[in-house]
Amino acid sequence: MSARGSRAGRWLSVGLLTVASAAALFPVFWTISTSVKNRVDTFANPPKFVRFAPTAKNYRKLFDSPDFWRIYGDTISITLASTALCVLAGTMAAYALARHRRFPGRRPLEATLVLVRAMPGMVLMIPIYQIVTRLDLYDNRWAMILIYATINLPFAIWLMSGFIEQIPVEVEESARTDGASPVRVFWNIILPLAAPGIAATSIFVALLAWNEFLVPVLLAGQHSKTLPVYISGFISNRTLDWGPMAAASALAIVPIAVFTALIQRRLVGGLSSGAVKE
Amino acid sequence: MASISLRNVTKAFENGSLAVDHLSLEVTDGEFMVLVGPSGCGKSTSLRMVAGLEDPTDGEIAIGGQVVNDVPSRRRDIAMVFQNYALYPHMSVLDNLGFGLRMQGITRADRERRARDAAEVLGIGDLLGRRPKQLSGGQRQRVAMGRAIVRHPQAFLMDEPLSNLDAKLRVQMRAEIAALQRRLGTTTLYVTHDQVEAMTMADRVAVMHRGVLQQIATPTDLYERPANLFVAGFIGSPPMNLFDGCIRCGSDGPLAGVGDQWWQLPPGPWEAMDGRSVVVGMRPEDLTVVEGSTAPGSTTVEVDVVTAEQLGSDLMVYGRVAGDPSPIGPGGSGTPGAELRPLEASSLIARCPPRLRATRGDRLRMSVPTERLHVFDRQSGENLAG
Amino acid sequence: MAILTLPSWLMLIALFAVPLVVGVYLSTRSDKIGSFVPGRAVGLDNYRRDVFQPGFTGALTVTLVITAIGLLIQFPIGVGLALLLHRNLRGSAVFRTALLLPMLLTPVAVGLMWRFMLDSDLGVINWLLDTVGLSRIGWLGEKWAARVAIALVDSWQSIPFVMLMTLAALSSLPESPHEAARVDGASAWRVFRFVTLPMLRPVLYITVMIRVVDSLKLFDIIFILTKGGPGKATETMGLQAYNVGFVALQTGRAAALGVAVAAVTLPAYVLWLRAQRASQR
Ligand SMILES: Nc1ncnc2c1ncn2[C@@H]1O[C@H](COP(=O)(O)OP(=O)(O)OP(=O)(O)O)[C@@H](O)[C@H]1O
Ligand SMILES: [Mg+2]
Repeated sequence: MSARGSRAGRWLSVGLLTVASAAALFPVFWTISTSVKNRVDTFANPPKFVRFAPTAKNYRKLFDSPDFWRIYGDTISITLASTALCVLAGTMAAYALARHRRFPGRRPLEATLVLVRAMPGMVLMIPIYQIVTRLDLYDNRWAMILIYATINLPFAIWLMSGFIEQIPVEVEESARTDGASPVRVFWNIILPLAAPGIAATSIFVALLAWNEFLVPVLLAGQHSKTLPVYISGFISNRTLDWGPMAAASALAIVPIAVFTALIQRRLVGGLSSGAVKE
Repeated sequence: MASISLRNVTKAFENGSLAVDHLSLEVTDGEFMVLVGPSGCGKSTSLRMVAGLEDPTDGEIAIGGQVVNDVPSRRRDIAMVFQNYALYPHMSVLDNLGFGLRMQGITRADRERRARDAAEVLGIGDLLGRRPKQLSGGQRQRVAMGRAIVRHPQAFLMDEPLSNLDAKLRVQMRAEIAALQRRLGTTTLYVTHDQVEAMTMADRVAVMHRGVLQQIATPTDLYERPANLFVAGFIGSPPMNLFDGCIRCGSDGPLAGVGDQWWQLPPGPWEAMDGRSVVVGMRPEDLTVVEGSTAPGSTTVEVDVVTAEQLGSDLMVYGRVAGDPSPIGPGGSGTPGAELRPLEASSLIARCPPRLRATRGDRLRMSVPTERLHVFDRQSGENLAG
Repeated sequence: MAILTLPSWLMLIALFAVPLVVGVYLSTRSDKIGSFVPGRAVGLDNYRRDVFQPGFTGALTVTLVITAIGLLIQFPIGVGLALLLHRNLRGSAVFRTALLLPMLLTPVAVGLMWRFMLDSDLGVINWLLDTVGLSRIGWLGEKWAARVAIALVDSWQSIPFVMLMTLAALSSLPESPHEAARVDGASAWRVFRFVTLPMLRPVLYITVMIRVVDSLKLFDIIFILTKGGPGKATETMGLQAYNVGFVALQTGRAAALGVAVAAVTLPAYVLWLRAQRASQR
């Protein structure tokens, strides 16, 4: 549909979009504004939206605790490692699924991926908790990295097969007749051509890993705690300490917000490529 | 260089479609063989089996005398040119040309030298730094060709390499590719559905129909002695005129009866076929308008003109064999509105000199050399002249 | 080619297949976390005690109710926003970025922020209701209000997904049927109802399925907002299993609940797999 319709209709559309955008952004704004308010302003009635004296106190409190930095760093490293593993394994499997209609284990793989994607996390986490503690892997980063990578695998494979299907198959055949071995074809042809897709997939998988809560809340102790667990820790205190909690939340979501704004176009393209594949 | 042979090669796809049916074909060393046929007849599939991109269900494929059924594509030492060129989008033209050599482990310096030589030959020497996206269709086509020749492979396989070019460029590249192949002397199997490409480029042409090989012959033979009705109808533009008729051997020699006319047949094994239902064919080029009686060795065809098209170089006369009752399509000349569909109402095309006058309703006397008449069995479609 | 799937298979076997088997095994035992008494086999006791009981069916109902409320919120708004964005008005790109954001944010942080905003005394939502003259709501403290609140927050995060899928589908639709319908004199609503919507159906079907499955999985937001309260008003199947397994520390019983959860969500996998296979044809 083109930009048609009456002037009034256009204004109404813009109005609705503005209201919706405000609703989408307000909680983010509110988090950030709460994070720079002192206690009195936080609980003021009526709420103070802009007229208050900003304070860095909440952030200082976080930054002064060595815990916070360690957790932030751990979250980043667990995110990166699990993303790398997930996207690597996912790209390989996606290539097989996208390019070869039949190979041993194709159907079971598809079915398993759907199961993993759709099964509520708690179903697996109860036995995984037992296995992990028996193997003395409780609070172990590598265990978490592996689990993250596995639960995000279906999503990675789904996205990557969409991207790989867009690579013309003749380019690959051309390389084969040019004398390239299967490994060469994958390495010299598929990987470079799928690079934008790999980038987009990595971004999404990294987001999922960064936001993951169920796995670390059950399996992380002091040595592998991630940001979402740290943030959730604020509510177990009797006194709900909204200021620092908002500051920690802001530090979790602001990188995402900035990132989104920067790569917005590619994000949409990435998700859509999977969506319109059907 | 090497020969390519296919022996009883069959390909049935998993969905049950029989794309190639017992194809036997021999491309001799250095030959330019064109595989031609209508869309979906199994040309690409045959070529792809030679390339090793598709496994035959049955039969044997040999390159240079060595059976390659179990040899993967990359070890067959062939180069393929694809319809959409399939250039590597992420590599420069130079790297595209050099990729195959790189896979052979040839040093960078040698690769560049050979790539530059090939590019020079094809006139793309100044494009080496560009990416495929920055090239025109014709330039891409040349890069695709360059990628094939740079490797000095045993054979070239080309799948409709010109079909994405505009008409003018196609004519030019057609000549260039043919000349290049003759110069290099590389065995070539070339697929197209364009019979003009087939006729102009090939040493020999193989015609396929529904997965079955119909005829292999030089372009001239194919044109002059089509093995069956399919080839007769497929090769030539406008196509051969075909009429239902029957054979009669009497005191005035072998004749073919069409409508209320009797045409003299060339010498042949007709005695044994007295009364046989046949299809008689003649090319539009072989009909000439005559005044008075026909020359010996020719036979007369009476034509009622339906319409005529002036092409400048020729006058195309559309008409009907006088007295031919066979209805032509839904708009046979007897049905109402036939004058609005003259091409459907006609059953014969003749290529005449441009200055001829012919209008609807005229009856023209035309003559055909009897050896230019083609007679096919109506059941099997075989050419009965043998 | 199968070799390329090997890394994936190793991961899936170690962290999906094995746990699944272990889960079934545990569900027939009496293990507890931190207990010094070793667990023993108890047959189907755990199932008798927890699964075929009002507690579990209650949790199942809660899960379905929250899912249903969520879908009713997400789809009209998500599809509506997609239609508005698809008109490509000036500023669409900015709106799209803004509308996309909630989907990407950390659910735990989102949950906390909404918990603050939904606070019945100090929250900005109730202040807003007050200001426009409506009565305050005890959002997280009342049974239905809490369920609606959870569905709202989940929807706030997932509307962008519905919107994005619809938008992608819209931009891949051919123009001509719309134009033909408009030329035929159909009103905007009728064009949508009888032309656009039927063409969107396949994508919407898949989107609904993904959303249903994700709602059934929903954990972090409920955990942060209500932990299943008040009472058990928002205790979904996942939370129930969590409470039994990691609060009451009854591993065996929680494992039985887990198996039950897997079983009742089975139709969703089957439908999903079928839709996926259909789309490959
Ligand atoms: N991968 C495939 N799976 C199933 N059937 C196929 C496959 N590839 C081709 N076919 C079928 O095999 C037959 C021959 O196909 P092929 O591509 O060889 O035709 P072609 O002669 O190259 O036609 P065109 O001139 O249109 O390229 C067709 O009927 C086609 O539908
Ligand atoms: Mg073809």
